[in-house]
Amino acid sequence: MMKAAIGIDLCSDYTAIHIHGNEEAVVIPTVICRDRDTEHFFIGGEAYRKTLKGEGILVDKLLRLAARKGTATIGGTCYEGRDLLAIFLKKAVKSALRQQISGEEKEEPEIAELCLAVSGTLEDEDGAVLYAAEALGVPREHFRIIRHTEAMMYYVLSGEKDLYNNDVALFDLSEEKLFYYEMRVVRGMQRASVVGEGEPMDESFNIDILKNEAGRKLGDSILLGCAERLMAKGNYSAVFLTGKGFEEIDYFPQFKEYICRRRRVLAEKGLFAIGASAAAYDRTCPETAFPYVFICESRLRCDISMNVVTRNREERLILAAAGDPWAETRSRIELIPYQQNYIDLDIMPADRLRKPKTVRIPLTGFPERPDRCTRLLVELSFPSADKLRVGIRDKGLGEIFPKTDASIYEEIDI
Amino acid sequence: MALLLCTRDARNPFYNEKLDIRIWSLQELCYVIYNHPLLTLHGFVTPELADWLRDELSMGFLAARIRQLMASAPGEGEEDHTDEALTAILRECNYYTQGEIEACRKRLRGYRSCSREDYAQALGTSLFRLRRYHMAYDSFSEAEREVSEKLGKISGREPSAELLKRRADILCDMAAAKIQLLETEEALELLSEAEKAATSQRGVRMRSLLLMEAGREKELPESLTDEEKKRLSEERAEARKRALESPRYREVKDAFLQDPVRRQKTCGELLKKWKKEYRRMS
Repeated sequence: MMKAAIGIDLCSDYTAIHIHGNEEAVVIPTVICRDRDTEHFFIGGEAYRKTLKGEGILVDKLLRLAARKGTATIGGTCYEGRDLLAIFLKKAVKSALRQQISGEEKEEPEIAELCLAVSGTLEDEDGAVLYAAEALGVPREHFRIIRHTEAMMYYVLSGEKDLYNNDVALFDLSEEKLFYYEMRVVRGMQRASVVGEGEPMDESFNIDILKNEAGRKLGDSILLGCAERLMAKGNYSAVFLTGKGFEEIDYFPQFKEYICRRRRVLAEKGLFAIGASAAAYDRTCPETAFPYVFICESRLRCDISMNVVTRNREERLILAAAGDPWAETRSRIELIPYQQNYIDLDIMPADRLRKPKTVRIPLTGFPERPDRCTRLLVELSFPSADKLRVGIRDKGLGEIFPKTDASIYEEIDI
Repeated sequence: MALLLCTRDARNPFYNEKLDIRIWSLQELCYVIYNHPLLTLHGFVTPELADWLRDELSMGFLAARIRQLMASAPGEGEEDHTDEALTAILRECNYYTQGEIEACRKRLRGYRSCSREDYAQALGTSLFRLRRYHMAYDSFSEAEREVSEKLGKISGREPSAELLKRRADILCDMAAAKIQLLETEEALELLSEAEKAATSQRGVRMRSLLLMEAGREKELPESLTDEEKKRLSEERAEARKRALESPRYREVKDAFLQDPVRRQKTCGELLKKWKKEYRRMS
């Protein structure tokens, strides 16, 4: 059976699905409609049609509904937002996979790897997306959630090298919001890094205003103002445009003229979905096609390490590396302090703009025992990209020195 | 100053009867070898230990080396191979420094070359420290038998004061084990014998404290001066004070401060624990 690596860009107003190897992404509105009389659901354009005919009841902004743990009542039945999103996603993916079938193939491909890209602007967005993705039946180790910034990085790095010789900019104009992203490759260290950042713009507009000339002029001046402010100091080799608002780039002549000066400009519908599918496909390969340390909001920006002795030699043990996805990174080791009652953690930023630092955690409250008779369980996790949570628990020394409840928990800014 | 990275724990522990503990990791094994070498000199390095190292700690090379040492000279030079095997285990784990490992090796050599009564007494002391009082008593008894045999062989000559003092000292050790086993009368008998064997300050002190504790001051030795009696009383008071501040006493006291339901549960747990400890001691 064929296997597919799929990237999905899941937003409140649209969902883009890209199957790796295909040319384009399939973009459908994130809406669902239930038949008035039966439990039959329809999605995207079909949902709109059914609703217009009066045959169904539409629910839109599904991601926002699910993230806020909202509900929708359709035909007397109350549905959880998460369940509606799960139904939507299942149908959308099935439809995209069915389109893969060509010629004599009868079975739609199986999902080998799935990557979902989200903007990260909604609270508990990850929880809602995780719930929906699990409903697809893909094993947890074969799907991941990334941010738009990371999806952009994969997309750009999958293309021609000339495009990312210098800085890369991306404007994403969706129905309600304008986002700006930047990316640059930093070389000259042990491993090349790719640094990506993105943020929603305060100056934004609803793309409905583009229906008339005055609105288009306003939109153009807003975009030009943003571009001039954000891109004045950088040296850009390429600018990417994505989102429904850029379907007609000619609406923004001044903006277009500015960004096209001595750089390449490319527009791509479903850019984040294509980037996500590249990320998904890379996981199926024995060796990565992206030998970079990724630095962005969903990845760690520094190495966390400590000096330990093993086999009578002192070594640096990396507990978490820059570029690791912080949400999935967990570290667990057991140590015995020798002639010391503290643990030092070294934090080394990847970008070298910030100074490295050492955080000392004293073992306060741990029982007094002879030296080397206390085994510690040290666990690390990351509640966010900027915070490290350290847990240290007493394990005694087997039955010779039984363990106690002594423990320390600290959160450290990294 | 350092942080020693630990190897993974075993799923199933290694059990040694003499030590009566289950060993779960290489670090614990090294601790036992280094701190209780006498208990590892005989019957510790076995095929079972080698299998455990291989299967539970994934230390195939070390296990093979131990088997090789055990097989190379059966019956002859067994002690050397045991010492080498124990040292190999210590070297494999970065728990002790090279200097400490070398010191341990010398200690092992030292125990091999000491007299049988010295060995038995040192073994008894090790077992005593592990609260294996019954086994400690047996070991001290063996030491006492060795010394008595030596004394018995001296005929027609004045027995050596040193040997007599040595016997008295071992008898005191035996009495200490009996005290821990709550066999006070036997302990007093042993201490009387120790006093008869040689003038033993240690024996007099132990017997006097025991008699004072039992409320039998009338039986105190006549040679004990008032000043000495006062000093012993102060020692008892100090020991009592320490006992009242000890965690074990606090454990019982705290149990009785609880409400009746929880108190019953806690007392039940304490009794179970003491029963287990007593079984271990004997």
